[in-house]
Amino acid sequence: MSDEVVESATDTKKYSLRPFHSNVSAFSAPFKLLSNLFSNQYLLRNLVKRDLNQKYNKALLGYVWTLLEPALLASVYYVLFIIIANHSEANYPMWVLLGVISWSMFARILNGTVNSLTTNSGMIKQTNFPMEIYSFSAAITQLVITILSLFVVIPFMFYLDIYPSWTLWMLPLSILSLMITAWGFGLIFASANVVFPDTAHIFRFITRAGFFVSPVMWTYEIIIERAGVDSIYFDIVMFNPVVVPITCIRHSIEGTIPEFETFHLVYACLFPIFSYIIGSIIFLKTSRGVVTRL
Amino acid sequence: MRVFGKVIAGPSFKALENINLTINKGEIIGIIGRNGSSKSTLLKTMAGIYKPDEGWVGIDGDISLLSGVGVGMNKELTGRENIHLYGSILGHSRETMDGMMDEVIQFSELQEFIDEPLRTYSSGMKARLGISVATAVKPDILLIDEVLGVGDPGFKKRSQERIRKMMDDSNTVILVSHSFGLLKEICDRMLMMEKGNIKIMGTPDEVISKYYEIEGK
Repeated sequence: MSDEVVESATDTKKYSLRPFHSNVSAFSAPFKLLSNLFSNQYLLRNLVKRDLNQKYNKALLGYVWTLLEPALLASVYYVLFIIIANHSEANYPMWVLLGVISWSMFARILNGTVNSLTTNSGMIKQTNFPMEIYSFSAAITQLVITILSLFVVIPFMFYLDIYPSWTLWMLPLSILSLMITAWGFGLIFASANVVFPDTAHIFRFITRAGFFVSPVMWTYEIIIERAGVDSIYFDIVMFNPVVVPITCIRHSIEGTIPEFETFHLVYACLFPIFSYIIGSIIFLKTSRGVVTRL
Repeated sequence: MRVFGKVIAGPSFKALENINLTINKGEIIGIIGRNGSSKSTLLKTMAGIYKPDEGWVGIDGDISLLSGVGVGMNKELTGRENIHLYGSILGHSRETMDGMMDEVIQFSELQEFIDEPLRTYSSGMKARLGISVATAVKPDILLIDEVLGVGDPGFKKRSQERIRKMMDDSNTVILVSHSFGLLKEICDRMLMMEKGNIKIMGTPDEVISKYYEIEGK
């Protein structure tokens, strides 16, 4: 018997059967994952609808909460910051608001993806559809919430006399890159979190601490002004993959183009791509194997 | 369909071992065994939910596992929306779900409540909705974990009839159950699990008498 067990999956060909869990090569994993999502669109749509319903339908104010939540949060940070730093830039409240919206999306998708297998263990043990669907539908839900939240800047734009300009093209691109960074990076650790639940604690810390080293309460320009381009702190901050996209989101609304060093721009563009590639390979190779440990 | 290998759950415990099983198209297989003998693990491995640490599972055709009925349903969505949601969780396309919507609603006898949110349903009504969706399709390979009995006696009888109909329509059925009467009546072949191994495999009469022999001790 044990000799036979060693026979590889290739002998399914002998029986012309479709094997479950056929090995995905590292090269094809990123494409395989995309095609899995594509062929389960109907399920994805239903799951997103379920999650949005869960969150807003029963609430008295419903979807108004997508605007209220970031507005309230930003006003708290704003008051705090005015007291502590005595900063008097007119656009500052809007910067904080955009920072809060972008960072919340990033942090929620990252934590949600890392926890996607453990929080959905009940469903995972009863169904055999591709498991990347759980984290992707949660990411799409957050994307929808973020897009709705962004409408809260409209009154600020009126107040600050800012008119939408052609720089808005950076907005969808930056949001998408934040989403893919968080999701792809989360996929790398989702299976590990099943075996080592400490992973989730580490990520909760990362997203808490990350709030302070991301341009939410400060901006890229403030860092350059205070620390200088040559300082080691500037280099450390630019290591954070969300600095460039969040800065772009702010500039896209204000109608200006941010100035980055080429290296930082390339880094920010490559980070989501490599996160997704590595995440998809690791997730497809490991996720099914950890189901028995859920 | 062919199952082959072992599944390990936990560091030292082998949930399934030395499994080498080929099930041919058209067969109805019954699985019996005591609690904890890994019957469900075998079924879930066949369904592709668990990945064997060694060996492989291969199938020909589409496969559907009838267990944990209603998993993923949401209390804020209406009955109708939940039919779509649960159907898609079971792997059906939008077209399939649109096609069988009326039939599902009719079978569940929930016409008056179907556009109300699920939280207004009693637990029996929720189960009825779940079973109505789960039993509405005809997969090539059907896996059933314990025959489902919920709702009032009338619905229970009808749902059992419907599962029987489903089994008739499916090419291949693999059934975990404790009701030996049913198994004896419908199975071509039976197997008895013990501690993750297939203890005996054979005709229903053989396996059931062996079961009593072993358990009688």
